[in-house]
Parts: sequence; C-alpha cells; structure tokens
Amino acid sequence: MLAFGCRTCGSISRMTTITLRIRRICAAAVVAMALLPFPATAASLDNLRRSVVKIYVTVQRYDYMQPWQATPPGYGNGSGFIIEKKRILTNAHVISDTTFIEVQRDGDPRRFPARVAFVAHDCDLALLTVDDPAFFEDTQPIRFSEDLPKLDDEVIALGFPMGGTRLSLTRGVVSRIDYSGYAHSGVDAHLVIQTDAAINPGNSGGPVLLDGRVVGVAFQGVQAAQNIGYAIPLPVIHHMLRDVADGQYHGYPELGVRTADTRNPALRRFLGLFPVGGGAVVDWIDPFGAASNRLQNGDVLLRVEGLEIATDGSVVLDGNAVEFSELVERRQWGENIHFDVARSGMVQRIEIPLRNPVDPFCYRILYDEPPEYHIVGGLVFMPVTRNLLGALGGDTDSRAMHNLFYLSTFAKMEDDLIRGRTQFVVLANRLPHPVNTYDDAFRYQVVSDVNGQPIGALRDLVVALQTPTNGFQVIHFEGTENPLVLDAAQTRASDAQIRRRYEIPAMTHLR
Amino acid sequence: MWFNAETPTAKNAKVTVLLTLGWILTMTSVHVRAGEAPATPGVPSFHVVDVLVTCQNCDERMPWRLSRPQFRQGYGVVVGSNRVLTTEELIRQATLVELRQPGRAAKYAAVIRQSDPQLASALLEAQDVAFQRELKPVELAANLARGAQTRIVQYDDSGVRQEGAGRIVEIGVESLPSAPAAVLTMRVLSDLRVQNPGAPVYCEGFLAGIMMRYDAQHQTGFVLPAPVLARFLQAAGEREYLPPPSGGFGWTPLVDVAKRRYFGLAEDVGGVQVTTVASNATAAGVLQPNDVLLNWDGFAIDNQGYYQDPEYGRTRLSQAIEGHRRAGERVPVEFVREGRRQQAVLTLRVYHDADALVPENTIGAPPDYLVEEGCVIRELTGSYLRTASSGNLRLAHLYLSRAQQPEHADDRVVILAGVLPDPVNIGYQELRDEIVTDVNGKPVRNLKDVFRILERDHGIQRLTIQGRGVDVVLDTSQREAVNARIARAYRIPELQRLSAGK
Repeated sequence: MLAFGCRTCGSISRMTTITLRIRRICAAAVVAMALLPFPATAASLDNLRRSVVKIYVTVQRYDYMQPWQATPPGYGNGSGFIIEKKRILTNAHVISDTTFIEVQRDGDPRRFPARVAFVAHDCDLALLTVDDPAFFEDTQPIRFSEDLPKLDDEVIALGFPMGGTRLSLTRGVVSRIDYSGYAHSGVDAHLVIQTDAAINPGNSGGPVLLDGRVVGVAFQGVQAAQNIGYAIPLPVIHHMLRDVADGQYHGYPELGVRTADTRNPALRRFLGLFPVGGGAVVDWIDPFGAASNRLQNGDVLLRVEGLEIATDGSVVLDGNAVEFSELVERRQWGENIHFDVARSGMVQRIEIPLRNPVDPFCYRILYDEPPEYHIVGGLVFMPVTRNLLGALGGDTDSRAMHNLFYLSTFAKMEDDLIRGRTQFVVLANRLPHPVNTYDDAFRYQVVSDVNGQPIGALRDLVVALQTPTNGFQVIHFEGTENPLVLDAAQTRASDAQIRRRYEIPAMTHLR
Repeated sequence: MWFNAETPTAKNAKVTVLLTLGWILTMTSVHVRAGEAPATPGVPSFHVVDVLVTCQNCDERMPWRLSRPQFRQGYGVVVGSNRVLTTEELIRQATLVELRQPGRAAKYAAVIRQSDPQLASALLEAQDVAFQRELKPVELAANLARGAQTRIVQYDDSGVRQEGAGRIVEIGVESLPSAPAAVLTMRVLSDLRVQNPGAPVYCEGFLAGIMMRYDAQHQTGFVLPAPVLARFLQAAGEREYLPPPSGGFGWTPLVDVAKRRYFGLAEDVGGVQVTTVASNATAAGVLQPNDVLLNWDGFAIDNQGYYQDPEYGRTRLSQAIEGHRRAGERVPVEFVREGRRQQAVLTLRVYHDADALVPENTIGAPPDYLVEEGCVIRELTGSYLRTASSGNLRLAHLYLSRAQQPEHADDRVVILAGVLPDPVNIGYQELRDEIVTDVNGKPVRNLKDVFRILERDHGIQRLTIQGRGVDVVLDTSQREAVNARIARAYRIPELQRLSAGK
C-alpha cells in the first residue's frame, strides 16, 4: 500500500516513502526496445503517431550540498503530444531543471529546439512550444475525451519508453481511478488513473488514449508492484489548461482543511448531529490555507456546492465516491466554493474564496531555482527545503536531522514552531577551515538567533551577522543553549581564503 | 583514558574489599584464586556457576501481554553465602532464575536480591543452602592496569572448563546501552571466544571483572571491572540500596579558542562547558547552561573533560562525579559564569529514571496502563519508542528534546497507544501514538490523573488529543458491558494496572 504526503500539510517525513516507491517514468533510457506490433487500428494510429513526440532533455540540477554549483549535466528523454494552439503537453518532471530541450516526431529525423511555455509542478504537467513552424507541419492536435474512462475500459499508451527512437504502443485496461500522490512535487495528491498498460521510463508525458482520444498523461509507476502505471486524468489536465489561459499558472488552490469521520454515534451526539446522516468534522485548519479564518475546528461540513458530504468526507461525483476536496480541485485559483456547515447547532452557508497566501512551509520539491545560501567562516547556512533534506538524507539517524524532519512536518501544526518565521535556517554544511574546526557538532541544527537577533529567514541571518557581539559572531540554535562562537575578525579574514580554496563564485545567494 | 600503567602484583589485592562487602562475605574466610583452581574437565569450579534465566518481555503496545518465555544463559561468581554476582542484563525481566554448577545437573532456584542497570550488576541469592556446598567466594582485584595479563574462564555444554589468556587494552568511562550515565569499563583482548555473558576475568588470581559481551570479530571482551563490582556489592550490602549519584548536567569539551575567549576564560585554565542541567538533579539550581566547570570535588578539569585521578590517572570527568562519592555527600565545585569565577557546594543526588518526563524504563518493568472502551492509554517511555515501531515524529521529538526536562515533577506524557476496535469506538480505530492532553475536559499530567478522573466521572467521555481539533467522544452509558466485551474479545486479564506508590 502506498503512503503519500498530506497535500494540505506537506508531510515531509513521508518524502522518502514516496521517492522510494514511486518512480517517475522519464529516464535516460538507453536500451533500444522493439516497437510493439501495431494492432488492427493502425489507420487511426497514423494520425496519432504524427502528433506524439519524443522529448530530449539536458538536465542540470542544483547541488544542495554545494549550493553554489550545479551537478554535471545529464541526458534523458520523455514523451509528449501536440494539442491545440501548437502546444506540446508533457510532464513537468520531463522538462524540470533542464538547460536544453529538443523534440522529435516519430519517423522524422529532425530534432527541433523547444522551450517551456508553462510548467505546473503541483500537478506534474508542462506545456512546450516550438518556434520553428516546420515542426507542426502535417500534425493534428490530439483531441481530449469528453469523460473520465470507466473501470475496465481498454486504453493504449503511446510514447518512447526505454530510449527507443520509434513510437511504442502498449495496451491495458483502467484498473482504478483514485486519489494518489504526485511524486514530482513530493506533497501533492490529485486524481489518477491506474492502468495495467505497460508504462515504463520514457513514457512520461505520453498520451493514454481511449478510442483515439486522450484520457490521461502517463506519468509514474510503482517499482514494487507489477503492471501498475499511473496517468494524469482529464480533470487535472483541463484544470491546468484553464489555469494558464490568462497567460500565468497560479496553481491549485489549497482549502487547507483536515476532517475526521463522524460515524461514531457518541461523537455525532456531541456535535449535535442526527444519529443517521453525513457530515465530516473539521479537526485541523492550515493557517496558510484558503479556509483559514473561514472555517474552524469542530465545524461539520454537510454539503459542498450542494453535494452531500458523507461521514468519511466523500461525495458522489459522476457516479463515483470521491473526496470532497475534488470539488475544490476543480475550482481555479480566485474562484469561490460554498459549504453548508453545522456550527453551534446552526447550519450556515459559508463561501470561501480560493486565494491562498504563499505557503513557505508547504515543502514542495523545488525546480529551476538556484538554492539560497549564505557562507560565513566556512559555515554554509541554508533554508530548510525538501531538496536539502533529500540531499542530507543519508544522515537521518542524527538527532539534529530528526529535529529537522520534525520541524518541517509539524511547522504548521504545533504551537510556536513558526514564531514569525518564513524559513527554518539550518547550518547545512561546514567547509573545513581553522576558523571553524570545532563547529561540526552544530551541523544540521536550526538557527534561532544570531547576535541576539531572531532569525526568521536566511536574509535575517545575513543582516544579523553585520553586527557582531563584542567581536564575536554568536549563533544560537533551536533546542540548545550552547552557542556557536566565531571570532568576527578572523571570520572576515577567513572568508576570502575559503572562497578561493573552495572556488565559490559568491558567498551569498538570496532570492 | 587509561589507568596508571602500574604492574599489578598480588599484594595489590586488598583485603579491605572484604570489609566493604560487609555481611555478604561473613560466612566464609577462604578465598580461592582462579589461578589455583584445577583446570581439569568435570571438576567443579570453586566459585563460577551457570546462571539460567527464563524471561518474558512485556508487549509495549498491549501491556497486559507478555511475550513467549525466552531462555538466557550466562555465568555468575559466588561472592558470599549463597550469593552470586552477575550482569544485570542477563537477569532482566526474569520470571525464573536458576543456578547450576558447571557440569552438574542440579539446579537451584535463586531470587534477585539487587540489580542496578547503572552499574550493570545483579546480586542473586540461591534459595537452597545446599547450593553453597563446594563453592567458595571469589576475591576481587583491587588495582588494575592497562597492559595487565588476564585469564578468562568459561565452560562448554558438558561442563568442561575453557581458559584463555587476555590482556587489558583499555580502561575507560563509557556509556552502556542500558545505563543512564557512563560507567567505568574495561576492554580485554582475548582469542577465547566467549559465548555467554558474565564470564569471569582474572588478573593474578583475583577477579578483575565480569564480561558483559564479547566481540568475536575484534576478539575483544567488554568487561565490568572489579571497582564497579565492589561498589555495587558495597551498596547492595547496606540496608537501603543507593545507586551511584549523578551530576545531573550535560557537558561538552571546550577547546575552541574563540569560544573560550567569548566565555571570558584565561588561556591557562581548563574547564568544560555545561550544556544542560536536569531539573530535580544534583546540579539543579546551581549550575546553568554555558557555565564553564573548572573544578569538581577538588579535581581540576581540563578542557577536554579529563581530570587526574589519584588511582587511575587521567580519567574522564564522569568518574569523578559518579565513582568517588555516594549520594547525599557534598562536593565543592568551581565554575566561570559570564566571565566571573564562582564557587558552590552541591549535594549529590541519585538520578531516578522514573522521574523523567519520558523515562527510559530500560529494565522493562511492566508499564501501567488503562484500557477504557477499547482505548489503550499509558505513559510514554523510551522502551515504548524503541519497541513499538512507532515512527511517530512528535513522540520521538519529545523524547529527544525534553525527556529529562519535566516542567513539573509529576509531568509525564500520556498517550493513546492505540484503539482496540469495537462498535463503541468506530471512527477512532486508526488513532495510535497520540498525545492525550485532557480527559473529560480536564488537563492530565500523568496516568494517575487519568485514573483519578476515571474514578470521579465513572468513565471517559472525552479524550483531547494534541494536534486534533475534535475530541474523541465515547458513549459511557454501557461502559461496564463494553469493557467486559472488549476484555473478553481481546483476552485482556486486567483492563488496568497502576503500580503501588503512583
């Protein structure tokens, strides 16, 4: 059984589970696989194959252990397909952290440079464009289906798995339609189509079709299981396409509500509910979610947009029982959603505008952004990010690392953890130099204050270091009164040596 | 850290050890040295016995359950009339302890007179006086030195004695997995592959220590040395057993020149930095974090945390705190606080694990619990976290950050360990490892509070869980019938346990 991070609270502790168990299916595929024989519907496939493209990428990620430099370039490929307005739909993970992208149609030896028009990391989708109009000659946009497929519907997956240069087709049935985690961001969960059609590395971004129309975009699989592949379904695709219609991607709105089951008769009496009926009770509000200051703990959500909410928080939508949050999912950023809520014995209609403030404690995996850092006296300070925790992952037994996971998981759930912060700043690394010889014990600890000034973000630390305490840089960390002390004059002198010795182009990068 | 590299001689074995053992040794005046014992197969040793232990562990998640009985075997040494000394870990959670002379069939039931996880030692008493026949008490070595030659003795299944030579390669202070503080230990290099714990190690015919475990890969035995054993026996011989005292503070070496200057220390002084001070412990109210401790009980402490021990030479500070004095005695200390030298006198106290916010309970004592309408409620312990495979970040964080820092003396962490599914608790059955803050709307600091509220209100109507905005609400109208049903369904002999004195 898969365990996924909570979409609303961004549970970082489960990141390892996600990354271990789910493999994305874009890869530097090098094994040439024979194309499967085309079935009897070859005529219709001729049209489709002209619009399914292979995407070649050069990837260069940021090295979070040495954040001033990037990793060596790597090469990979994925799939995509042409949709209306001369756009190519693919997965965000295919084109993230790339320095160069090319696309190639099946049977055409030419490769065309492409660029990213929109990327939606929270639902693992991206749109590419190709400036050379020759690329789109003789192509037709692949059309989307009108509806979600049903269980046991036969679907085909098209793409370029395992590095092959010719189009691959695999066939299977829809095994399940459910909510599941999206590994690309590490925290998001949306609707997915599960299929037993073989989906392998390189299939990422390719279309999954029913009767010649797209019902999903292949995007991830499960390593430990057999014949389980996932596709991003139409509601998610359409949500992204509608979102970018105004020229900007805003992302999914977050309601930021966790509910508990109200099946228990004693609880129903306590909440003033009828013994038989529905309703899910709110038991946590995300301070950065849209429902903050609109809903409160103990509210019983009875209906959303007129649909009855069951005790377990599900609603019946298009004949399927899905989480009520699916109704939120289908809204765009800036729209409203309505709940009928039982509060203090009264039923109220509450309208919630789906506009989220920036949530610094969501902990999505970051792409295409150089990491923030500041180096002083050879000590590398960085804000806690999922990327950093992933890079440090090999040392999870240490008490300090455990504390990092705790802080990042419960930042929004425990009193006083945030305390005016927008970032947890951590001593991520030490570049050995005589000035910091004895400071290794402070590694991975979260900075609480520097020279008496509270540190709510990396920028605060940079400022606080400008005013040493009686000739010392005095750095305190969370959970301990033991300070890290640097001689301010020696530290200043050491910075130039450290910069030269470790070939650091800049000692600070702030966003 | 090492003891004096002084060559041990037979005259170093102090007869005064006998005096410190008190009444334990009054039954005998003959002491047999291992070196003189015949190494002939089948001939009983004069003071080494097999210790046969049947033990059962408590199921931390369902604390009314015991695991299937397990069997352990090790060695003990006779130290007095019907008294046998062995390692504490060997007899932990024992349901039956038996003694047997190697190679003999007869087993003698024994009771545990005293055990101390801090000193890793246990004293057993055979229930049948016939046990003592043919056995003589061992004499403890008084002085030990690095480099000294030793002999290690064990017996094979048929009772044949095996001996191996060894050499003391290290004497130092280290933390044992089950001890709350560091203790004097010894490492002995030997190619005798020691199979069971408790094997005696001799030095010039005197008992130099008993082996806790043997690392076959490195051919190294980890030995509890004679001074620790003597100390344990001395305390065990008194009317009330007093464990060794604890300093009640954490410290770290203070070598960093910049940091030393920041703390206002002159270049020619030593001292270590105090990092934590446990409440209700020796240093509470006197030392503070970031004090620099210069002198303890007359011993100057260097910047790495060593002092010059009159007996053992350069030795870790822990030995000065725990190895020289008894609880209740007063020790002078000198420290620097905010650049100023200060002096104070501390009264040594014993640190009781049970006083912690999250006790370790390494000895595995059966925990108190309450099963109410399927909700399993208990206090958090280190052993629970280690064995319950909890993976709960919140509980682990409490344990790692505040285990020894209760805000009030009686603060403990009350948890809902799990819910035994029953119609009365539907909707809550996935809850586990949750912190309970209130019961029936009243804050609870410990399990005793929960019992008090239960008795007063005749049931638990509401449990407030940390981080959960809605209480767990239970129907108490059929409480007795529900509890009886759950007890039957889950075969729970007692739905609650609250130890006397709590």
